[in-house]
Amino acid sequence: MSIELAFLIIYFAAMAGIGVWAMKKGRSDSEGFLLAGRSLGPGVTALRLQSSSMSGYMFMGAGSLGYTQGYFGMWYALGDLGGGILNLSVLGRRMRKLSQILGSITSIEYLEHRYPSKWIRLIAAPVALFCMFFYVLAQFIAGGRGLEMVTGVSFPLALAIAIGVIVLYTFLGGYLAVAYTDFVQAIIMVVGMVWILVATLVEVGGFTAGNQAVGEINPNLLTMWGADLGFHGQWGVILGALLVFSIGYMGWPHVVVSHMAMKRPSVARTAGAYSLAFNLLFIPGPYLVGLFALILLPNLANPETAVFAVADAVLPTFAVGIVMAAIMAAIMSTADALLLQAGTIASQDIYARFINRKMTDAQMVKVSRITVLLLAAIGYAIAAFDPPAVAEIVIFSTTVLGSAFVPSYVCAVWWKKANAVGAISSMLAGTGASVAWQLSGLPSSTGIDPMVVGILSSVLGMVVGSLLTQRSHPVPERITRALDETAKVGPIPAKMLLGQDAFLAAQAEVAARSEG
Amino acid sequence: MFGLPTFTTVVIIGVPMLWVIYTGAFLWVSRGWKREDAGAKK
Repeated sequence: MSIELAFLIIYFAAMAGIGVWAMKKGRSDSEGFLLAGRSLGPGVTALRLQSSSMSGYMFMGAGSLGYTQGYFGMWYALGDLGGGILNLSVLGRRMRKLSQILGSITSIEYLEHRYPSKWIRLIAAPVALFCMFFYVLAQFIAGGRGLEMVTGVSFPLALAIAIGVIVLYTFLGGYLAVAYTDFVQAIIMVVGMVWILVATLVEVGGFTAGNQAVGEINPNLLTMWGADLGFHGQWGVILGALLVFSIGYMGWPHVVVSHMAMKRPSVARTAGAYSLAFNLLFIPGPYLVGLFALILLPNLANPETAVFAVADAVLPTFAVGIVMAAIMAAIMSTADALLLQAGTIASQDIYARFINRKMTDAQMVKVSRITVLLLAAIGYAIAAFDPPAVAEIVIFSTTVLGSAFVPSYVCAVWWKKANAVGAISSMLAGTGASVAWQLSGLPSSTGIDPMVVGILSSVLGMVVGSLLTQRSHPVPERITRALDETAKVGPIPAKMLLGQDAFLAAQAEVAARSEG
Repeated sequence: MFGLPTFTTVVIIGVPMLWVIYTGAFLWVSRGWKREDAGAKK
């Protein structure tokens, strides 16, 4: 057995151990299973949020962008750097508070509670599931490629092993298990990335010497405009690159659920600072390693393997094992969060909401696991026979997620006039516009990224839809009172918690009955 | 600087600096949030 493989096995076993420990420690009721009993502090909140946002894309897609487009790829990194602090500062405190007042335990259920209409969940759940499937597919492919390189087995077999480990691991437990393992994995990711970056810089003779050597291969790679200067003046594309991983995070249901699981609303403050520190250490690494791979490995057949190949070339054998564990950590911490959220959406937001309203906890877990297995089987079938590029799938699925949900989550806590019609219009316009723009080939002919079009459309949908229907679909008073309380800095009065205020409880009951 | 064109250097240093300043401003603005913890049940 190679030392790299031994490290990976130890890593998998350690993560499984943490998962089992967290599962035993956690509460078994719905809030305990899905939100860790709203018990997480700033360290776990920040690193869980970041590691579930930083996926296999960082080791495959980012490395490939650096290798093929040079410093142009840094536009994505520069937006990404602020994604965590933006998310926590804009949504964190208010979303934590409002979700508790409304009694929401999933991020899609929260949207329906804030914008009371069953159509919210009927639209949001399938859109989120669709995007998450493609996003998790990218993680499967990245995991398969990583194992293929380490073990030397064929890609279909490596893919089957990677998917098997990810699915087993997701079955271990609920949010607490995912949060604690993601926390540890974030630390492994930073250590692995910093190690490989330092080793690469030593190998190329330092940052300046490395840049000069890249400039001798193609000076365009040192500009912010791409290998053939094709992005020069393409501000629509650049704005999209900056937005997709900065404000885009605020629309990812598997990421914003972190806010709802915080111990206290004020946790968002410290977590924001931690997340920026993590990002500054971690994010530039894969882009730079991909760039300098041009000097060390100029004839790579598949640029997506640049970071793996550089690790293999510049690190001692035992360190390659640790870096491989870091790569798997990035993949698995995103994949488990996505699968847990996908299972939750299928069981809580679709099955329990529309099919069986008296679902037991055991049925919930069963539906959730069947969903995970189904996604894994379909994912394997697509990835084994015709694997698409990881970067393309990640950017596409996250663009649609961001376009569909950013205005709905942001306006939920910041705009009292945002109503159900506005939210529905926003989700439909954002999803439709970003998918249509991408599929029609307009990004290349117009130079405008689908993210820019998607976000503009969904913001327009929210504003126009809400303002035009204020009289026919007013925001219920119980929601406006909850928003007033959310805006205040102070503990939630006990009477505001659902079921404890006779007025609020009565209004909530009427709303629930009318929605059927 | 660093063997890079000036614009690249300005962008890759300037944008992270903006995020650091944003974080500092956020920490300053939110310095009163601890008040919320007093009496909180969670």
